[in-house]
Amino acid sequence: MIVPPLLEVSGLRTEFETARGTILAVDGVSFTIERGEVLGLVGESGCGKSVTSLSILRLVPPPGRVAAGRILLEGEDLLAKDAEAMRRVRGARIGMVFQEPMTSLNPVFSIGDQIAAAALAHGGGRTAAWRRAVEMLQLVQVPSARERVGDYPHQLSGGLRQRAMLALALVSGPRLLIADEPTTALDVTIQAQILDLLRRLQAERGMSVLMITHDLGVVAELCHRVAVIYAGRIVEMGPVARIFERPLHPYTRGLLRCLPHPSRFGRPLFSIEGVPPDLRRTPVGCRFAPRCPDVIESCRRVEPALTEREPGHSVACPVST
Amino acid sequence: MTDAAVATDALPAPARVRPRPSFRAVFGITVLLLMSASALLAPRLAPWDPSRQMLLKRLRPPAWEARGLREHPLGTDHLGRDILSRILYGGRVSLGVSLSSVALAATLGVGLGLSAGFFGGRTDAIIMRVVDVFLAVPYILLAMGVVFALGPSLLNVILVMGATRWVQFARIVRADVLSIREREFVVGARARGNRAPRLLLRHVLPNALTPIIVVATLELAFMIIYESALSFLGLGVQPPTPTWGWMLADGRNYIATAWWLATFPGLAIMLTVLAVNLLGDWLRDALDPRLRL
Repeated sequence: MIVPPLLEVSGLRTEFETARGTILAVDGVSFTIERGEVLGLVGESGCGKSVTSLSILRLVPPPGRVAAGRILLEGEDLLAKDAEAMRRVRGARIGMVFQEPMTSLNPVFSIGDQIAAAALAHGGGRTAAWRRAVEMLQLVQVPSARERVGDYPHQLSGGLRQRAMLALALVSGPRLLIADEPTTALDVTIQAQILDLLRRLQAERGMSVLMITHDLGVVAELCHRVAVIYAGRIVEMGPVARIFERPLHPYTRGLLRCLPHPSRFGRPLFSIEGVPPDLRRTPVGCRFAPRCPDVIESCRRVEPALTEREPGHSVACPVST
Repeated sequence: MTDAAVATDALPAPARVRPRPSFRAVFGITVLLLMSASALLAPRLAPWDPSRQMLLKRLRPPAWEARGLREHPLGTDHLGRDILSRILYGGRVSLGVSLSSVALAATLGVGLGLSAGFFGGRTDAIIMRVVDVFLAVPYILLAMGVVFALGPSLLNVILVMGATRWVQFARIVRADVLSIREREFVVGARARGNRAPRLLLRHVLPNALTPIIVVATLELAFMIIYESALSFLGLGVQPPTPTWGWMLADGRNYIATAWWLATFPGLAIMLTVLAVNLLGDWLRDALDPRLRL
């Protein structure tokens, strides 16, 4: 018997019904995450990364809704679960870390209090929960955790807050961690520390991670595979090394060229011309066509499907070779 | 104070220091305790029966004035009743009614405001339309109707006052909840599988406490006046039971010739409201961990 992947998302479609038309924030996204694998979901602002992660947790804020697709966690369809069953999944099997460490902790309780409350929800007494909070803070390498456990979020630096967030997400021992731009709001040295910590925790616990980011540097550091998403669709997906070496989709290439590089010192940074399409009226054909340097005639008529070029490496572009 | 300022400048912020009882807190608590104690002990403290009329001694000024009488320290009113005794007795009604009606209004309003803001959609629409109705109909008119139907009693007055003023709480709480529920820690708590009641009580309500305390202190002052307005219309606590608001309204007619009729109950109201405001102010700061430095 084949063990199903930890998470299998297929044909996910999330819409936002607005007064001025339906916004297709995520349109037919499919990917899998194996046990112990780190998948990077890369794209620019508003392309549907965060909505994808919220869809998995079924926490898309109204008027958004998951319109179609299947989300299988260890073979169980999350979209078919009732609210109570889904709540239990959120608590125990999927953890989530957010971008903004300033606002993602409750300002009126100490971090220990918050972690202990999460621990308490999974059984055990108060003292045990408090001890667990200290352990968790030690696990995420908060220095002198025993003293800091009583600190309030505003007393911690951004990096420490992000560690506390991580402790909070991991206290229930989830198999899948969704990290939504966890390092974006931090400065570079702290970013590196948090990425190190994430990598270590991931390896130690054999946890799977869905890493949402717009930073290809983060992807290179941490991820095994990467999916590039543009205007609600995955345009390219494959192993990290492969994508960095030989990107096939013009958008991926563009993204990679946007990275600052010493060889281009003194010259202006590259940027992809134009803006992403309006998601209320996605153009016929390829969504990237209006901005694509290699566009051909058929791109504007037929939307290219994601096809596998080499084992494990798929791309949705008829032009690229 | 200066010591503390120097200390915080010189050292990194200390981890946790309990808020020191400030002047505001000490003053507020002392005044409120004195007020409540004197109201509770009114029968023992008051030199006279508050409704006893002594027409020969009407409109006597406080004891220190030329025409003042030693047995009436704060003077007498137009029916010759002792003002001090009436203030002591009046405190029972005024404090009791205003505190209980604010408590009732806050409970109702905070509960409904929380649900409206948090659940949104239809719940919000229904609750806020009810709020609109309450705001559109003058509350005095509403209170008149209800008291008229139920009959004027102390309990009914409290119920009516609470039930007409909850909208103040509901509106302010809802507005605050609308922004709090979008903050990431609420989404995060939801993503950790917390149920709605827990989200509300642990994550949303504590962060909405500041405006609630402010509104509650303002409403307390309002309720004292509100009660007197109802009494004035004959719907509140019935004369001859003294209340501060009623004494104030009554003394208004004599303000040019006998200032003490309105002044002393006015001072009692002012002192109470001031004490409650200072206490509320201090409470707000004391409950905010960000200010505990």
